[in-house]
Amino acid sequence: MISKVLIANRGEIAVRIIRSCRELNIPAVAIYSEADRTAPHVLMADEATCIGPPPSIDSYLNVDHILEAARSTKADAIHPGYGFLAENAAFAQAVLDAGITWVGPDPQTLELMGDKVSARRLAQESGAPIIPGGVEPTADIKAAEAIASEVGYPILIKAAGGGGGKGMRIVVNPNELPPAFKRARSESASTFADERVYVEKVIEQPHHVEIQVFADRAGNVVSFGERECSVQRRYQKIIEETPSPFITPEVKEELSKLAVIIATACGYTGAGTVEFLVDKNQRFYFLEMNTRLQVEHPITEMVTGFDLVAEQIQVASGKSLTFGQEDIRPRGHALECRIYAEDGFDNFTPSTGRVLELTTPGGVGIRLDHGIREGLEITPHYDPILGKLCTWGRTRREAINRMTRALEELRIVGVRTTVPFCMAVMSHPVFKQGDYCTSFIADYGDDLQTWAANNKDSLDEIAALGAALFSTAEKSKSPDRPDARLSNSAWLRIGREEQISR
Amino acid sequence: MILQATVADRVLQLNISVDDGKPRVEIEGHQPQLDLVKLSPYSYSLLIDGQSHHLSIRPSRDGYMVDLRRRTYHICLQDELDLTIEKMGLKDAGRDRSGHVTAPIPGLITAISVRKGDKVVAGDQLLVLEAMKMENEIAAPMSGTIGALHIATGDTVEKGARLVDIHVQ
Repeated sequence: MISKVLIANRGEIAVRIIRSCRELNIPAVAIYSEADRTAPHVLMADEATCIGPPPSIDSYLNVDHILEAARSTKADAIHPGYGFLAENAAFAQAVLDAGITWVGPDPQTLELMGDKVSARRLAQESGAPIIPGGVEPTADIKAAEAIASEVGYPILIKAAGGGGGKGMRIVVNPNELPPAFKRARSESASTFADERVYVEKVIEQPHHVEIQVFADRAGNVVSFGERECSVQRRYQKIIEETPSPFITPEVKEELSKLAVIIATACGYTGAGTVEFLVDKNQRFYFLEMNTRLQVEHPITEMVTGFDLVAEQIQVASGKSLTFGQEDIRPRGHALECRIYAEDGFDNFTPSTGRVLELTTPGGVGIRLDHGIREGLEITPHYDPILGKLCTWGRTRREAINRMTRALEELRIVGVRTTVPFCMAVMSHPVFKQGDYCTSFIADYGDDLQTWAANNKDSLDEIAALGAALFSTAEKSKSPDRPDARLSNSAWLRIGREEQISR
Repeated sequence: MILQATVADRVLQLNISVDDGKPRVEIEGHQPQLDLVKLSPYSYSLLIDGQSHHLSIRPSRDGYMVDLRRRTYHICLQDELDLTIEKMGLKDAGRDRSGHVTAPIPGLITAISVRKGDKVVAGDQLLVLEAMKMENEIAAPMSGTIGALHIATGDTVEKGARLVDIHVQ
């Protein structure tokens, strides 16, 4: 039995895990860095403990402080969420050594599947095809050049130590290899403490399709079906859906079967995801296994009706699955749009600032998981995800229309977000038809920009009216301040500009 | 009072008066029925001839920012005095023409590849700015000689912070 769960994470995923704990009647402990003292996950939790200053390395990645927080709050289980220490075998082992239940697979499994070399070997032995070149990673430029000329350009460089697009580069000719290799190696080293990278053949028009698996300690393993995650920027997912509009029923069946074999072979427990690349001819390759809860798990929950976090906690507390493969019957269609603090029309540049206004959508078929509130400062310390907006529909078309409506209702003012970008994607004919691949944003970025510009309903006059009324109201409030009337004048602007350029 | 509102590349004329305690605005020749109600510190409901609009309005460095239907409008309001000053050409006075390389995003300086006095050509890497775990190479926007370096490795910088000066020959 688990009597109290410490959530070793922050933001929207910490909020999401607290919700399941509430429903299971298990108190939840939040941890927070000094930058997150008033973040929603702290406000929502039953207990909260500060674990260090803002930089992740001193707080959310600080194993000693997190274990100390668990001891002092008498938490008997730790849920790592995703990111941070979720796939860190040493952390999982330290949790177990402290006599605390780890909500996730065994450290041995984390190690086996976290190392891409052993994971690919295991997948290959389980009957899954592997991408050419992707067998041995290297930190040596000479070896990289040799692999590249063997499999042929273009090639993809990616970190051996982890995923999430960090350290990834596409190289189209040999001249570009040395600088790209150097940069990828340095990003890999700083993010994953492992400078080795893979040099792989680029798969043409690939689709990123993944299978959600779930396992208990008794060896029961089930598939929760697939998710199509091909709308990506910088190799990071931004829009996901289930079912996949692309793969055939035969491929779907086969991927599910392989994922269950792989999960069984590595002795998996809890929620995991097996990722595949599927090319334009429906040929598929094993990519990696994510040994944790996935960001996009809500769409699987929407079509199946399961609470995967609650199931994770049940399995971690030693219970067997109370359902079988035949109980998982996906219904309808679900979409997720990730809401990042990034400007989707300016190369996804991160945006920081204060959330001045937040209005959330509601109604039929809507789910919003977020970790922000009005007044919250968005800092550059952490991943820029603010939340995830998901919609369900009986059909794909209904889910898309509902998403457009929900994106319209969602107002986040004060930081730039990916909301306008996601709206443009929802209206794009290629996305609507469902025949997009991972180069969608690169191929149609200009279309999306144009759509956004054309849909700039001419509201200039309304905005100007609002500003004029606002300024009139501001001025009438402080009639005896002589500078109030000039607060916006060119004189002050000159002064300010002079100071800035001094 | 006559105000000139600049929204992107559009210039709009507004004539504001107060009638019975309520502001009246004439915009582009017509005078709509207006009702502005504050909802929260930055949020407003504006009815224009009965059409309902939900706006966020806040002052910014050079005017106002208005959020309306998922779009942010940057609005510069100028009265007659402002316009006169602008016409006199004072606005550009004192502007430094040497190249200032500023931080496009907030982040951490992880490497600096130039020193004061180095000659660079446009496109040369100046430094690496790490933000949200991505390394961003900051390149020279123009050719010239490196003047002052305003940062050191390990510094955290805000968006817009001056990083490096380049003197153009």
